[in-house]
Amino acid sequence: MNGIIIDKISKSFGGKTVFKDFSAVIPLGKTTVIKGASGCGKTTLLRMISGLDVPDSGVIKNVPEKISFVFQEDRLCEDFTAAGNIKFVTGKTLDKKTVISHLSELGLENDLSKPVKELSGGMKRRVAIARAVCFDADLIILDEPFKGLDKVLLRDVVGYLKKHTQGKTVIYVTHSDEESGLMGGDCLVLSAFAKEE
Amino acid sequence: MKKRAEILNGRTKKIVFRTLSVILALLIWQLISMKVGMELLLASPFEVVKRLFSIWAEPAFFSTVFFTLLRIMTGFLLAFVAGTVLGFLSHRFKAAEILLWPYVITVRSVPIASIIILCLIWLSFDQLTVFISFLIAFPVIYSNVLTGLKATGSEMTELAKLYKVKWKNRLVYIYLPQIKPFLISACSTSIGMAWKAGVAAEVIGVIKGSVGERLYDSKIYLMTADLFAWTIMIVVISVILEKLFILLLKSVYRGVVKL
Repeated sequence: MNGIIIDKISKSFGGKTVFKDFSAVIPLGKTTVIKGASGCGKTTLLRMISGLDVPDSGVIKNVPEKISFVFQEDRLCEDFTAAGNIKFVTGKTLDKKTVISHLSELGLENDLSKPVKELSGGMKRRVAIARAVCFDADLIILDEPFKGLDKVLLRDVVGYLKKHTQGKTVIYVTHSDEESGLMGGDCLVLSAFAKEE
Repeated sequence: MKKRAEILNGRTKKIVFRTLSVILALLIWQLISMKVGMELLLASPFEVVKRLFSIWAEPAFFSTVFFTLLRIMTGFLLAFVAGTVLGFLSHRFKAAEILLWPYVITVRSVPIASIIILCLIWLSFDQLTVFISFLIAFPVIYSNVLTGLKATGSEMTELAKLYKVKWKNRLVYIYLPQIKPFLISACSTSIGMAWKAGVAAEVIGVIKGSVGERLYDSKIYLMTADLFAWTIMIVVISVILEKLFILLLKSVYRGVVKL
């Protein structure tokens, strides 16, 4: 099957089993929304798919090699500008004009010369999103990417994401029905898989 | 606005109190000097200031200062490079940290006078000041760089790993900004220490043409005004160099951020 295959994975932290023999297929080239209650393992699943964490048992196969990730935290280089933060991951593969155009699409054109530490929370969030998109990955993972964005910005950022991730595999975690409605895509509800020992 | 005025007020108060405490210290010094009554044993502040102004006019003044400055700053710069490079190496390879540990601990705990005397046996006089300045500054810079690197958040290193960021970009974007406060603090401390230890080495080794030799002479000929004047000169030069080096370091960092 043409997708990321999650095959009977189990994962525990301390005494708590987050996944037990969990299997799923995430289609490639499409957007998949992962939903679920807090603590049910959404972020853990994303980390295992991206290779940042390893399952205790089971395997995850067919994961695209080039991955970008918007974490719950912004994880930006605070002393550098928004463009600098993008250059950090893209190196010289992307020219300055393209980077500025991406940032402008997200309404950051007036703050290009400022170091990220001087930007607001919402602006930082958009820089993190632009960085993930500019990386031109085959798999884009978004862990609650719209935290701190107001409703108007949310629509703009969703529009930006949809435009630039067409045909790519996007896995996206949210609690919000409104956000998942805007982003669209297949829905995977995780709460049923979290198990306490 | 009110807060700014409060800060300014606080700063002014601080400056006034510090100036007053310096004046008081000078007054006490003057009184003790008058009580002792022998300029040879304890020169008065007035005599020291007079000497400070006349010392400049001496033909050997600049060559003496340059002689010591060149050697101490060479030692410091070598320590800066070695401390930074080895700090990175120790962060990358645990084995390097373990291998360097005995040297760092030894240099930190052994009295500097013992090291100077040993070096007088092993090294030429010309190399002594450079080596001692290096030796005293190296552990401070090395340890601070290593501490700074160890404090790097796992979040950023994880991000760099995921995005397969090249080593050069990791260095510029994560590690150099991370160690900046540690490096500045290390340089600020170690330049002063290098001057103290470097001049001490020159005094013990009676190195010809150095500031240390001038201090030694003032001890031999009981010229306390000279001793104080040269000491003040050393402190002033050391502070100026420290400030200049920190400014240079900060401007290099600004250049890196603009990359």
